[in-house]
Amino acid sequence: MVPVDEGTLKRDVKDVQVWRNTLPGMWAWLLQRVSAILTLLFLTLHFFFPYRRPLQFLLLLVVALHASLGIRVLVIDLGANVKTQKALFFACLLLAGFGLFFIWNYLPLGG
Amino acid sequence: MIYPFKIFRFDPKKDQEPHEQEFQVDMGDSEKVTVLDALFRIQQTQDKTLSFRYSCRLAMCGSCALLINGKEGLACKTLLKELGAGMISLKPLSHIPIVKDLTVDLKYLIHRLKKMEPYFIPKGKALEPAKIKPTSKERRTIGLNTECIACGSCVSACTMMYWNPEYIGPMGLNRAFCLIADSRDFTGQRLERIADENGVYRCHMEFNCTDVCPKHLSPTRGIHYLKRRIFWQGVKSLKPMRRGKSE
Repeated sequence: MVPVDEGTLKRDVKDVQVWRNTLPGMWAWLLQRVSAILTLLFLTLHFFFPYRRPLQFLLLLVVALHASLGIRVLVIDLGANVKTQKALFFACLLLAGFGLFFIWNYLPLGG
Repeated sequence: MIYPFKIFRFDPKKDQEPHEQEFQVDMGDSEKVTVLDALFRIQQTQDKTLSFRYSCRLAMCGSCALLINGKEGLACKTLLKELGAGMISLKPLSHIPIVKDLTVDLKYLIHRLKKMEPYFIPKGKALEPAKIKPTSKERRTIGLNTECIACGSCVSACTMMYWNPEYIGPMGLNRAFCLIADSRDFTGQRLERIADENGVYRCHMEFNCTDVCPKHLSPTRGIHYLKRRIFWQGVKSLKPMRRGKSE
């Protein structure tokens, strides 16, 4: 059924079409919010279970994602052309990937 | 060619719940058939009670904005052939009260604009017309954002409107941007009025409004200009304190 609340149509997250129409700008926002929550979760777990390699990797992954998407927000806030926002999103994902690869392979993480 | 449609039906005065009704429409072989043409055909041949809004049919007035296959668009501008095979879903715009079926109450959008005084207020009584060159920084900053047709697509696409119905919304903030960036306008309290959680700070930069705008404008760009403007105004207000002149 189509959700209508107080006479207005609301987007239904259970509707596949809503997700199909989700565009890069929205994915960037969602990824950053989810990675923020996961950072809190993994950081808490990290205090109780330090030096666990899978946990370290997951923590590094969400921090890299959150930080690189934060750079995108900063660049746009400082006046970058909004037409570049989609390209910036993909560039930031690449940056997160490179950052993760470099830190995981070349920096001592106590493992 | 026969096109299948699934259209949102709801009359708040009669119906308890909305429902979707299916139609099959033969629109011939023409490639230039729009969603609005199909709506006319349905209304004329299958169901006279179907309600939808239109006016110019030239993508100039913004009256016929709908959710077409889940994405905001103008019915008069969207060609059926662009929608591909399969069921075409038509719904009214989100976050705006429904009058009936695909028609929404645009008064809601206009009331929302009132907070930021959406009209030009001249700075002084200039006798000569202002000279603003098309190449000037000010004109290039405002760009095409003055071309907004107030269709409400951005308001429908913005998820922040879902969470906070008090939010002015991208359409209102785009209007505020066009006025505040205009050197001829007496900005007055406009900036202060939009510098809160129901104003510019509610924009979380999802770019949904930019992606769905049928005129290819970017309200997000305008909102970020306003954020920077509020920031620099705040910095300027700190200067007297630094000089020890603050009261």
